[in-house]
Amino acid sequence: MLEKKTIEKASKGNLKAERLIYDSISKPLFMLCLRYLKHQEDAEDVLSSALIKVFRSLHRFEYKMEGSFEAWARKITVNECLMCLRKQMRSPMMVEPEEHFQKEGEDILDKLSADELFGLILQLPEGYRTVFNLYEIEGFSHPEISEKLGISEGTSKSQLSKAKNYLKKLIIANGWNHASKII
Amino acid sequence: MLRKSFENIDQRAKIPVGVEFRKEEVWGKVVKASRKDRTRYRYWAAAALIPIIALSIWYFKASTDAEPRYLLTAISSDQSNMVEEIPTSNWEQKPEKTISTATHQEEEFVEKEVWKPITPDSTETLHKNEQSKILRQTIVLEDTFATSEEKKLSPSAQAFQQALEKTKIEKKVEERMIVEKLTFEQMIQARRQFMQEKGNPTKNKRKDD
Repeated sequence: MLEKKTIEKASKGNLKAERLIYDSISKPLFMLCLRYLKHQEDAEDVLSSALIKVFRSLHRFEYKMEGSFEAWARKITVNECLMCLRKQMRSPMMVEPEEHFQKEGEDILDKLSADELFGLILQLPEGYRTVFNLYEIEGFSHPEISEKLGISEGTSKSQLSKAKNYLKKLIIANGWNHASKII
Repeated sequence: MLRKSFENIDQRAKIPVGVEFRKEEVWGKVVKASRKDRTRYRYWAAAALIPIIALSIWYFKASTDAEPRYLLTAISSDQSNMVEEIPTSNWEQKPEKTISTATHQEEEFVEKEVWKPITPDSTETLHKNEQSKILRQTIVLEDTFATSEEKKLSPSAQAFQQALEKTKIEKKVEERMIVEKLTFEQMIQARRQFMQEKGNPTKNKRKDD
């Protein structure tokens, strides 16, 4: 966790403090970008632009509690990712899966490791992935997602359920479903 | 809702195989952008300073070039003090030397072709008889003034010269008023004087002449 002093120093233009912040948040933010954009180059570009925004607007940040800075930086990065998707004209609703999957128990997701889950998210079609990321990981509500992506709440809900079905298909395909069936 | 399995997934998960996070390259981009911002800020600051400096130079230069000239005006209650009192001397008390000098410089006086209110008779007399002492009083006076520059003037002449110098008109004179505290009597006298000047301005002019 970053200290308040470090953030204050960085807001005054201290390069060492900025580097310290970068070292602590760059990797998780890169992973976040990767979840949305999938490609390494895109993720790096978005990460750099997000970090530039973070450091520029650091004087406006108010330190409230531990982890508040990380959450604030994440928000900025998520917005940057969405902007990048919009620029690339990659609407989250554009990809339609060919197959529909049976609904199975969602507890299976809890049995998977972080790396396995991350791999599964990356395999999701782009449209589903964005809604899934925003709802399941970032914790936005359907009205918020609809506002951010410019879609209706119903579309957001249906996209999420389709994303979950797609994930289950992937889990079955990978042979990870046996454990959940036993449970 | 946020699932427990997805909490901090970005921190827990490792970078997938085939993907490389070029940390230093991204940091380079960030630093470059921040440096660019700083240089841009410096350029803006410098550009903003130029007109301020130019204005300040113009302002201070204009104020130093102008040399103020002051005319000091003193208001005095005593009317007699308006003119400096100098011990007067009679015409008869003047040294005879002055008269003889006037006759001696007669030729110079003619050469300069100064306007002379002299009758033809007198000029003839002057040309014919240089030793003649039948000179008009006015001529003598003019000559004495001419010599007075070279030699020491009489007290009355000095006073007159000083008065004349005071009446010289200066270019662009700034007037500054000095106010003195007056007693009630002095104030009445000053008012009377002011009213006299106001009521009869020509009178003062004549006095000055």
